[in-house]
Amino acid sequence: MASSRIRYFLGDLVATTVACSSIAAFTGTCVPSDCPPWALMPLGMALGMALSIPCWLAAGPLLGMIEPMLQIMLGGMVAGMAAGMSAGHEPAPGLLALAALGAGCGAVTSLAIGASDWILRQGEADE
Amino acid sequence: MSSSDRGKWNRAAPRYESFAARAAEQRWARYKRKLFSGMQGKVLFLAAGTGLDFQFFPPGKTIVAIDVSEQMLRRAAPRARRYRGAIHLQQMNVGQLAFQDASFDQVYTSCTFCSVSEPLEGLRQIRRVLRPDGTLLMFEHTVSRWFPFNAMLHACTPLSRRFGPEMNRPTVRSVRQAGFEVRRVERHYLDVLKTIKARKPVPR
Repeated sequence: MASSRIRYFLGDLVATTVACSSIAAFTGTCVPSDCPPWALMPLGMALGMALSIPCWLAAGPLLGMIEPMLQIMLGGMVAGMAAGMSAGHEPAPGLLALAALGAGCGAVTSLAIGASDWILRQGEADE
Repeated sequence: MSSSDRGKWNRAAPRYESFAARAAEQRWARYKRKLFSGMQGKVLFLAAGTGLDFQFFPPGKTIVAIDVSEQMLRRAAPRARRYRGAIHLQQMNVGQLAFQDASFDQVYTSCTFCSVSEPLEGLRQIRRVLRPDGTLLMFEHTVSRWFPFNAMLHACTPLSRRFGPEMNRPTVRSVRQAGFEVRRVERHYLDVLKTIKARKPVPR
């Protein structure tokens, strides 16, 4: 049971990292650099969340439906925010830097969700 | 479950396995096998879908399996035939179970109450068809206690309900509201994916 969990944990980690890397690269290039600074973060977040949907649907057949959804949507939101904010920097980051930023956001989000999962599985549940 | 639900699941049937269900089955196979290993007596299995769960049923049981969608049941039929026991498939709504009162010892569900349009009514029907002291065993996606996950489930449900399930159902609470005694809840993933074991109280 543990090996299966580890396998899917790694699958979620890879899927979220790859998805967030693409999301950040796309968001960073789409958000205009002359956009008002206050709008960069919400615009990036909205774009990141919208782009998460096709990534989630692509990961579904491999990893299940709800599990990658939570990881990729949360990761995509964070990656989009970070990429949106970075678009206002001078000079604007390149595609590779944006992809690396997104990959970092995705990996951290996935690890945080993995840790949350471990915490939430302790003891019995209730609502 | 309304006729629109039936239509939704009929439309979803051709892509149901490849798009979502098969991966989830593989991911949670061990937990489902463990849940179903306790099957005994007269068993009702709700929302059979395309019958992917049949592989986890212990052999030699007699099980009545229902689903609202004839397209799902058509795909489930070959799997029911391959089962080393007896699975009787019937097209039926969870909210309108055409069984006599107290006619089952156990009722099993697997990712069912994220899809039933009137979950409380469905659970009341289950309570009716279960014998006193009978058990309800569920493997379900529910809301989470943790805000970020819960917010995401609420945000995605308007999209997911168009082609399939609602991901933000408070199923444990609904089970209690329907008059069951919840015996045990095990979390399997982020307080979202749970095994729920409940019992129909014996009337005094």
